[in-house]
Amino acid sequence: MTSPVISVQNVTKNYGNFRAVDDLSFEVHPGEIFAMLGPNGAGKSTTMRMILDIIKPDTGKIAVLGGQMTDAIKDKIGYLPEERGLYRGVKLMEMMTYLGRLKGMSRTDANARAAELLKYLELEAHAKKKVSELSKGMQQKIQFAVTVMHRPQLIIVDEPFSGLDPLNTRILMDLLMSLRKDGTTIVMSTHQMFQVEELCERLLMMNKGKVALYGTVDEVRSRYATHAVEVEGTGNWAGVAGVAQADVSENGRTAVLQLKEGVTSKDLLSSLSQTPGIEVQKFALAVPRLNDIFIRVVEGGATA
Amino acid sequence: MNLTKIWLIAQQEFWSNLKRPSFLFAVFGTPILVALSIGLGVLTGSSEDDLGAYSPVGVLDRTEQQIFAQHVSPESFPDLFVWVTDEASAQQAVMDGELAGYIDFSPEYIESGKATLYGLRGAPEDMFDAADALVLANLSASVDSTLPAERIEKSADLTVTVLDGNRTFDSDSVFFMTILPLLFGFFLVLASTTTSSFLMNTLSEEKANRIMEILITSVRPMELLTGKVLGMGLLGLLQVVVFLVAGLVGLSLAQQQNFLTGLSIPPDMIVLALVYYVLSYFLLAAGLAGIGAVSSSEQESRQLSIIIVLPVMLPYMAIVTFLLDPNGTIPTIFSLIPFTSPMAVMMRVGLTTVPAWQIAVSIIGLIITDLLVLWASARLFRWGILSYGKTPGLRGLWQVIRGRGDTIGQAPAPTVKEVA
Repeated sequence: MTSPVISVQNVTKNYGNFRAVDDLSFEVHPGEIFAMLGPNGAGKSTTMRMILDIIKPDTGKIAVLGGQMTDAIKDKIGYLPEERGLYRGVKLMEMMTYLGRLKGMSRTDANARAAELLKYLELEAHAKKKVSELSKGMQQKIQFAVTVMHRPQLIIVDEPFSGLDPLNTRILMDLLMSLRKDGTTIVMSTHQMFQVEELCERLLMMNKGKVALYGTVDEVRSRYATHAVEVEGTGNWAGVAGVAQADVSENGRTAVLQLKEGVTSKDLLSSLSQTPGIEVQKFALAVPRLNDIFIRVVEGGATA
Repeated sequence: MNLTKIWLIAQQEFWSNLKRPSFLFAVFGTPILVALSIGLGVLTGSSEDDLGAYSPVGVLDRTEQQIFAQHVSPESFPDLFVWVTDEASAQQAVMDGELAGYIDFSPEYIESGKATLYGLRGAPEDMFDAADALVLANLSASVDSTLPAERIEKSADLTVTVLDGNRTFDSDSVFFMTILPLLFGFFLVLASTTTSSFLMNTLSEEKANRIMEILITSVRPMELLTGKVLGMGLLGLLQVVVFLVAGLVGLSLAQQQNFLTGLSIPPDMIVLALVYYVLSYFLLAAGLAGIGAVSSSEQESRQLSIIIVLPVMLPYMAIVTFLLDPNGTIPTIFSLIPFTSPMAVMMRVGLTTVPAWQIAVSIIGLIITDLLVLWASARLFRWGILSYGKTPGLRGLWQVIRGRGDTIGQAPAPTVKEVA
């Protein structure tokens, strides 16, 4: 097995009396999109900063791209912090070139890459504008472009899509997917669970500085799977044989049917077809959404 | 330390700030404003200096005709002049502070009309009228008809020479004689405060808009600080050079118009100005960079910057003391204290001869203070650039400087909440 891109082992970080990260361990594998989830204050940003060597852990070990952080390794990482910031009074090309060169690029390479990204993000017409002259959405895209300017091997992005409209979200998601296709490893923190379900292979859910959930997205969802079926259609679901409880959605079009013990989904499908007044348009095993799992974990205060 | 990245940061700071309108105004606008105010000063003929403090003045009569043999004091300046017999004792009396200066009427005086006033500092403007009155009073008492009529018409073309031999002033230049050292001190501190304030503002801005987080994943905090201090220092040096060149060109133009012909800016003053600029810049830049790094906003950093800038500007507030007695206790003390010394010494070297030991002590003191402030600032900088929320008080800052503040986020400053 190839060595992990990031290895965090038993890391703890305190701010005064507040323990921001508590005995945290996980790994990120090469070429995957890895999600870091958790409520505000769970310790995600602190963990990211420790990975980036911006702050030091009190105890534990962190290895990135095969070892402890060096200047050469720093140049192979792209970071998009949660709180965005750009030089507002500087022209786009100038700023992108400068930040690219700080990552070790030559002036020529940085200029060419900045032009390429501006074209990809449909911002080439604004190359000579100052950041302050751009809309918020455009600034977000530029921030993202700065993160991937130097073709990093590892990208760490904190809430990359926050504040973006669906169209721009799609553009940046496509960019992330294409980077992963090229072998880039991506660590992403987000509150948008559907994005995790769509983009990520594995996830780490943190709560109160500790690991709450860790594994592949499918594993986590199946771990929280209930004995239920999700249906779409019309009828009196509660009256169907084998149904213990029917949770009908607000609009009445879908329902989650909890099955009685010993009843299989196949038995239920058979019952539904035999029950008069029932019309089924969609029938699927109920797999919990990450969103529901997130709420259950946070409300239950669960940690692994 | 990655020198390539440091140089890249220095270049970026230099060029991006060079284009700022506020910097262009500081470089070009301020000298124009000062030149205008001086022009206004010349036109109104104002002089803040007082002849009363410039007394007594010796008269050394080396003319063949001994035109001052009657020892007549002019009516308008009855107690100003005393008579001295030889150059050596006159010089000694000046050095001992018994005389404010002495006027040397050389054997060539009768022909040329040129006399020289020697002193430890420049003379007030009234001195030129007093010299005329002295000559007239003594010529009137003389019965020698062989004296040329021009000596009555134009009695004394007085040149003032400071006894270290570097500075000379004629009657046109006397206003500038008093204003020049003040300008030197003013522009010196203006250059270092302008650039170091810019440095502080860019740091506050980068911290406030969070681009700092991106920067420090590309470079180390000390590389960032070094690059910024270097870039802004070069920008300030450019500002000093512009001031000096503008001053020298302006003087040369004035002299082509036969104005300020007796005024010269000695090379030692220029060298000292550059030395004090560099030392005061590092003091201010390091101090203000530390403040910029720990402040939560530009406004707050500007308020805190007074802690550093005020002591540096303090000698300017004691300007009258410097003019009246440049070698007095207060100017001497200010010259020895590291924060006040750049401006104090530069003001004094234009007015008087500053003892070499005082210059040496002030420079050594400044170098030591620069190193201490750089060290403390580096600790604050490393700790502060990612600390948001309430700025710690002086006690908190002291804890950071003393404590384990060499790693971001690790310093014990209980009043600061770091973003988790």
